[in-house]
Amino acid sequence: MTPKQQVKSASNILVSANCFLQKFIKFPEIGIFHSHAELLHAALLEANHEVISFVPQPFKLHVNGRRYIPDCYIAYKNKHEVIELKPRGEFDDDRKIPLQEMFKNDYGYEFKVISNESVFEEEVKANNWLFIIRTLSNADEISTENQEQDLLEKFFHKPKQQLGDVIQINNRMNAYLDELALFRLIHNGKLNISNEKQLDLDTEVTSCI
Amino acid sequence: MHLNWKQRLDNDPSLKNVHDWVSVQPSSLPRSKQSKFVRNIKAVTKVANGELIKDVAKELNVSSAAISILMKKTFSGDSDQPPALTTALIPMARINKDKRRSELSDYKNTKGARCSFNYLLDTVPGLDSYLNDIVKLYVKKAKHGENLTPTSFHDKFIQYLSDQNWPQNKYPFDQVKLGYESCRKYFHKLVAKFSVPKTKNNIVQINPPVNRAYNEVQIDSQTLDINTSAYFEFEGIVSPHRLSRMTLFIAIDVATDCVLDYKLCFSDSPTQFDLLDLLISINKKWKPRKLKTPGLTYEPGACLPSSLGSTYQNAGIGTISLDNALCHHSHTVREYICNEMAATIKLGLPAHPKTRNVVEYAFNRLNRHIHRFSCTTGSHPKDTKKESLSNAKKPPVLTVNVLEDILSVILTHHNNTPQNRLAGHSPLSMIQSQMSNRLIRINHHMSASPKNPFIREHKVKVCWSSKEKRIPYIHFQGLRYSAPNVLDSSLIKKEIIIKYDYRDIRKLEAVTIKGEKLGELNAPLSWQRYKHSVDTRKYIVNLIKQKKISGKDPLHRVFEYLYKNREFPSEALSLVNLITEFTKEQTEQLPANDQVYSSSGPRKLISQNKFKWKANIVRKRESK
Repeated sequence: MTPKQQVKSASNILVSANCFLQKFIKFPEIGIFHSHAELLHAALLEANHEVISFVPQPFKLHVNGRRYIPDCYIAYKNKHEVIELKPRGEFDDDRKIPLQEMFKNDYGYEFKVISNESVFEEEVKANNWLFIIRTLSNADEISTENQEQDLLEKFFHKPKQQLGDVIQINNRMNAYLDELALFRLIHNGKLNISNEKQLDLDTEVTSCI
Repeated sequence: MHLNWKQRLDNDPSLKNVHDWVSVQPSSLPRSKQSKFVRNIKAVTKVANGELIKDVAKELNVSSAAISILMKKTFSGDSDQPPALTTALIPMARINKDKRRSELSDYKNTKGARCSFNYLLDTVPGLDSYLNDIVKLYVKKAKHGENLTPTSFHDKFIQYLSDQNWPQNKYPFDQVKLGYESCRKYFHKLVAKFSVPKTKNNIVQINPPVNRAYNEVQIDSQTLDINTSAYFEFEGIVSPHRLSRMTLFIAIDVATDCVLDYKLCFSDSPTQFDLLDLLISINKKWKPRKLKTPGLTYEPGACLPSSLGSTYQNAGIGTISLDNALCHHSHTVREYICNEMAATIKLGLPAHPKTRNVVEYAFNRLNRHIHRFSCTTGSHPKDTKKESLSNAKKPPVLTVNVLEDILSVILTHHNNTPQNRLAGHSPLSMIQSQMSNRLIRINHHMSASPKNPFIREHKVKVCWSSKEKRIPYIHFQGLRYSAPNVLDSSLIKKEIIIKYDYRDIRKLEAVTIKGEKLGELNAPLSWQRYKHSVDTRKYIVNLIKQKKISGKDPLHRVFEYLYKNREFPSEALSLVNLITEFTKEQTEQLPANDQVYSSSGPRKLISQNKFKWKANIVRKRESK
C-alpha cells in the first residue's frame, strides 16, 4: 500500500477549512493541505534529507466505523511513516491503537501523532524552505551543473559565506543560474543554511562536504 | 479528610500569620459590620498564636463558644479544600452554599419555601438533568429543541414532578404560584450557562507579520456600486446608455500595501478567465492609460510596480490569499498559480474577510473616492447616497472610460503616497527599497516559457458524410471545423487532438494522437468575422436555439440583438463586453512559441465594423 497521490476527497473541504495549495519537489503535484501546520510540516519534510518522498492525505480508511484520512505518508530511506497532526498531539486512543497495529502488522509502517505546536516551533525553518521550494519547483528543466560545480569550488575555499556573497543583488536577472544552483545545493544537502531567522542576504551558508 | 481548626494549624503553621491572608479592608464593609470584623480578626490572631480561648473571650468581652465557632469557621474543613480564613471573619457571611435542612413544607406544616427548589433538584431523580437538557437544546437551537419561555419551563417542571408522582401536598404544590419565581431564576441561570461560549484550550497561533515584499499578495473582487454609462454609435447616431454594475479585481502586496494590478470586468459575475487575466498582467509591464478626462493626470512617479523594470515583472509571489469565490476554485487558476507562478494558494476559512484585511481596506479606500458619485445601493431606500429618481431615468454622467481613468489614477496615486504604517515611505519606494536590499524571489519561469492557461486540448472524432460528399470535419462547440488538405480520408472516424485558445476559437490546431501536427481547422466563414471566446460562442448558440437571433451571420446578429435591447443596463453591459472582446487586439500574453495562436488572421475585419462604442462623454461634449 504505497500511495502515489492524494485521495480525491482531500479537495472536499476546500471551501470549509483553512486550506493551502502548494507544489513540492518531493511531492511534485499540487498538494492540498488542510491547515497551516500541515503546510509547514510538508516544508520541514523537504528540509529533511532522510525523506525521499511524501504524500499528503494518502489513504482513505474506516476505523471503528468512522471514515479516517491520515495527514501524511512519508517514505524515508529505510522506513515508512504515517503521520497525523493534531493540536497538542491529542488523538483518540480508540482510533490510534488500531491504526498503529494495522500499519505495523500489515505494512510495516509506523503510525505517529505529531502536535501542531511542535511544527510551529520550527516555523522559521519551514518558511525558509518554502522560499527555496518555490524557487526550485518550476525550474526543473533548467540545468545548472556548471554553476553548481563553481559554487562548490567557492565553498571549498571559503566554507562559510553569506547568501549575499553568492547572490548578485543588482544583477539578479542575469545571474539567475547561480542563484538557482545555490538553492539546489542547499536542497541536495551539499550546502547548509542557518535557520535562526528569515532567509535573507545575511543568512549564513556553510558547506556540508 | 476533615480537619478541625487545631489540626489545620498543626498541618500548616504559616496560617497563624494573619497578614499573609487575603486582606479585606474593614472600610470596604458596611459600617455595622466593621467593628465586629476587627474584633474577629483580633480574636482569631490571638487564639491561633497560642492564647487561651477563655482569656481572649474575657479580653474582647465575647463568649468562649463564639470564639470556638469563629475558629471552626475560619480554619476547619476538608483537607483537600483551602480554609475560609478572612471570609469567615466577616460577620454574617455565608461560607457554605445555602441548603435546606428542614423537611419540605406541606399544607399541614408550613415551614417556608427557602432553598426548597434546590432541594428538589438534589432529591428528585433526574429532575436536574432533565431541566438542563431541555434548556441546552433550546439554547443550541437543536433540531429537537423547543422554544422555551420561563412559563413553559415552569410548566415542564411541574409536569415532570407530576409524572414522578411527587406528593401533591408538598412544595411546590403547597405554594400559590407553584414555585414559579425560583423556576424562572433557574431558567435564566441555565440559559446564561449554556449561552456563554466555552473557552477553547487551543493555543491561538499568531502569525508573524509579513514584512517581505511579494511574500503575500491578497486578491479579491468587488461589484462596484456606481452608475456608469456608455455611448453607442450606430449609423451616425450617438446615444448614451446606462450600464449595470461591473466588477473590480485588485491584487495588493501585504507587506508594502502596494497595488500590484487591477482589472475591471464588464460583468457582475467574474469568471476564472478574468482572474487569470489579472494574474498574467501582474507579471506584464504596466503601461499608463492615455487619460482623456480633463483634470485627471498621473502624479509624477505614480505607477504600478511592474513598470519599474524586469526584476519587478518577474518577482515571485510567496502566497496568494483568495476567498472562496467559485472562480477562485477553478483548476486552471490553481494550476497557473502553483505551477507557473510557483506560489502557495491560501483559501482561508469561509466568511472570514478580516484575514484579507489589506485588500478589503483597499476597496474601502477606493470607495471613498468612488462614492462621491451617486451609488447604486444605499443603507435604506431614502439614503441620500443613492441616485435620485429623476436622475435614475437618465443615463449617468460617468462613463466607463472616465471610470477606468479614475481607477487608474487613484490606484497609482495610492502607490505613490507616503504612509504612516510604512514609516513615511510610499508603497512604491518601500517595494523598491526591499527589491534592492532584501532577498525577494525571482520567478524566471515567467519570462522564459510560462504555459498559456488559455490554451486547451480536446480529443474529437473526425466525421465525414457519404451523402454530402464534403471534406472531413470535426464538431466543436456546436459547429463544424474543417480545412482543405488537413483531415484526409485515413483519419475518418478516428480520434485526433485539437488545441485552441479559449479566447479565440476561430481556428483550431489539429494534432494526431501520436502528436504529429496536421494543420489548422477553421470555423465556418460566418463565424470568422470577429475574435470570440468559448463563452461568447455558447451565448450566441443559445440565442440561436431560442430563436432570438438568426443563424445567418450570427456575430452581426448578436450585435443587433444586444443593440435593440440596449435600454436594459445588463444588455448594454453585455454589448460593451462583446465589443471589447471583438475589437480587442490579440494580446502579447500569448507565448511566442505558440505560433498558431499568435497569428490572428482576420483582425483587419475589425475596421469594417460599423458598430462603435464611445464612452468618453467629455470628448463628445467638447466636439459639440
